[in-house]
Amino acid sequence: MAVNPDSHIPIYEQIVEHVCGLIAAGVYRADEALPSVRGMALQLRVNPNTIQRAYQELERGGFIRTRKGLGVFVSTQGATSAQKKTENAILERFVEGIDLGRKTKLGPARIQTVFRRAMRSPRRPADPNDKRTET
Amino acid sequence: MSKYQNAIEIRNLGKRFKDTPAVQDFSITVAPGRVVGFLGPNGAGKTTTIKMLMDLLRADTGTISLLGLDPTEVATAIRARVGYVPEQQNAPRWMRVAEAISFCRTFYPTWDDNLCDQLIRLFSLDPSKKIQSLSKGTKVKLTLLLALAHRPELLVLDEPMAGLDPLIREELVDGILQTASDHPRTILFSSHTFADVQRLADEVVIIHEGRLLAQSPVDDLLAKTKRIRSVLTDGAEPQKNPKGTIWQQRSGREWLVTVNEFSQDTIDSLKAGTDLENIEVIDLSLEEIFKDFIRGQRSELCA
Amino acid sequence: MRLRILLWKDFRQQTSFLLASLILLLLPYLIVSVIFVVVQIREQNSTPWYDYFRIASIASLIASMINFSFFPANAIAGERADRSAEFFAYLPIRRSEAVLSKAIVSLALSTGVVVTCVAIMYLSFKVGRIERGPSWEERCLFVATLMAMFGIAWGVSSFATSATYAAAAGIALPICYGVTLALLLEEQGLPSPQVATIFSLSCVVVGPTCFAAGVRHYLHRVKP
Repeated sequence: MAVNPDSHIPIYEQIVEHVCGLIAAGVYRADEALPSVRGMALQLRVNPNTIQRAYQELERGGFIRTRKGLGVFVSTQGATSAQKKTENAILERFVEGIDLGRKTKLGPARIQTVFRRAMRSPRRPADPNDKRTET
Repeated sequence: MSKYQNAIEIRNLGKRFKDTPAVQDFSITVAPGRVVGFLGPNGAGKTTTIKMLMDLLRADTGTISLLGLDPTEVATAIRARVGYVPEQQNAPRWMRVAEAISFCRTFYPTWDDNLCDQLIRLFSLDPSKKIQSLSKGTKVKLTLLLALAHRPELLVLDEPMAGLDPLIREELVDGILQTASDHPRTILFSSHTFADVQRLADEVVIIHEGRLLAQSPVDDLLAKTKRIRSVLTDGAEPQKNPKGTIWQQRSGREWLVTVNEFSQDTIDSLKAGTDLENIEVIDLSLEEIFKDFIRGQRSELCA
Repeated sequence: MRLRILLWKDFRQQTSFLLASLILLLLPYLIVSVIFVVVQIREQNSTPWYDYFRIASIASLIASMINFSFFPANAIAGERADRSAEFFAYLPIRRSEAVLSKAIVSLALSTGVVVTCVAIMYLSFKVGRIERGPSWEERCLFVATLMAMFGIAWGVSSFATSATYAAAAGIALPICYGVTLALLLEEQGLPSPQVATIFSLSCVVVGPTCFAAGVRHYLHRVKP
C-alpha cells in the first residue's frame, strides 16, 4: 500500500479512501484490528498526525471505532458503509463520464452503449507508472 | 503536555547582510507537536532564519522564543533540548563515528543509548569508520542520529534531503518517523522535495525574499488553493482579480487565476466582473501551489 | 566528564600540529649529525660530539618557541577553518568550558614541548661540562617572549577564521616589535640590557592582555 505524496489529494484523504477500499474488499473484516497509528505511519512513511486524522475521519464515517487502550477496529457495519462509499465513488466517476458525453453532444443511447462496452471490457492491468497502484 | 504554549514563536524577525535584506518582518508560531515544512526558493532566507533560531546568527530586529525560552539568553540550555541538522555536515573529519557519538552523548542529559543503537542499525552506520571517509548521505544520517538520539523536544532540519538519492531519503524519513511517532515532538524542516513535505508536514510556511508568504495546514492549503481556468468571450478583458489571488496569467483568450481562498464566491465574483465561458476549477498539488505563490510574487515585482 | 571529553577533543585537534612540531624539533639534530659525520670524515681532530649536541639542542629550543604560537593559533581558528566549529557550536557546550579546555590544551602542549627542549639543552650543557647557563635576564626575556607569542596568537585566533594568520601574527609581531625597539632605543644610546628589560616588560603586558581579549571575544561571539 502506498500513498502518492505528489497528488493534489491530501494524504489523509488518500488514506481514508485506501482503508475504505480494504474494508470494502474484506481485507479487514468487522471487529478486526487495523494497524496502530505508529505502525501505519511507519508503513506508509507519513506523519503520525496524518494517520490520526485519517482514523478520526474513518471513525466519524462509522467505518471504524476506537477501543480505549486496545486500538482501532473495523466497526460492525464497516463493510456495508465502505461498500456504500465505494458506490458513491463509482457514481461520481460515472457522472463525470456522462458529463463529458453531454458536453460533446453524444446522445443518451450512445452513452449507454459506451457503458455496456466498459462493463464488457477486461480489467485494465495495473499501470506500472501509476504511483497509487498497490505494491 | 508542555510548559510552553508555542514550541517556536518568531515575531517581526529582521536581518540584513550589508545592504541586502535577508529576512524582513518575519513572524510565525508553531504549536507543540506540529510538523512544519519550511518552503522557499534558494536564497529566500530559510537558512538565515534557521541559524537565528539556533542562535548561530543574531537578528537585527524582532524576537525569537524556542520552547518558551529566549535563545539569545540561554542558548546552551535550549540546545540540550533541540536537535539540529544543518545544511552542511561539519562533524570533525578526524573523528570516528563511534567517537562522535560518545562525544555528543556527554553533553545531552536525555541521551537514549537504546534509541542510538536502533538508529545505528536503521542507518547501517559503521562505528569504526572515520567521518572523512563517509559519503554525503552517510554524514547526513550520522548528523540526524546525533540530533535524534537525545530525544529532543524540537527538531530543526535545514534541507536534510538535498542532493541525496531516494533510498537514503527514505531511510532518513524512517528515522524521523520512528522517533517522532514514539513521542510527539515539534519538527521544523526546510526542503525542496515536495513529496517529503507532503508526507511529513502538518503545515507549511512559505518564505520568499525574506518575507512570509503563507503559513497554513497542508490540507487546508490543498483544499482552498485552486486554479481557475476560463476563456474570455471575444473582446472581454479581465476586470479585477478575485479575492485571494496569488497568481494570474493570460495567454490568448485563456485566463488562469490561482486563488488561495477558493469558494463559490470566487466563481461568482469572476463572472460578475468579466464575460467568461468554460469556467473550470483545477486542483493543485503542493508543488504547483508553491510555484504559483512564487511566480505571483515575481510577476508582481516585475510589474 | 564534560571537561575531560573536551580536553580529549582539543588534544586530538592539535595532534597534526604536535607531529609537525616534533619533526621541527628533531631537524636541528639531524642537520648537526650530518655536519658532524662529514667533518669527522674530512679532518680527524675535530670538535667533540657534545659541542655539536649543544648547538643542536639550542637550535631546537629556539625552534620550539614557535609552538607557543602554533598551538593557541590552531586552538580556536583551526576549528573554524575546517568548519567543525559549527558542529560544536550547536551542541550544548558552554562557551566557558570550551574556552577553558582549549586554553589548557594549548598551554600544556606548548609548555610541554619547550620544557622538554630546555631539559635537553641543560643535559647538553652538563655533558659538555659547561658551567654557565643562561643568565636570569636571558631567562626572563625568553619567558616574556613566549608569553607575548602565546597571547597574540590566541587573541588573533579568537577573531580569525584561519590558524595561519594567527600563528604568523604570534611569531612575527613580537620579532618585529623587538627589532624595532632595539634599533630605536639603541640609537638613543640605551644599553642592550635595558632595551631587553623594556621589551620583556611590554611582552608581559601585551601577552596576557591579548589572551584576555581573545577569551572575552570567544565568550561573546555569536558566530561559531
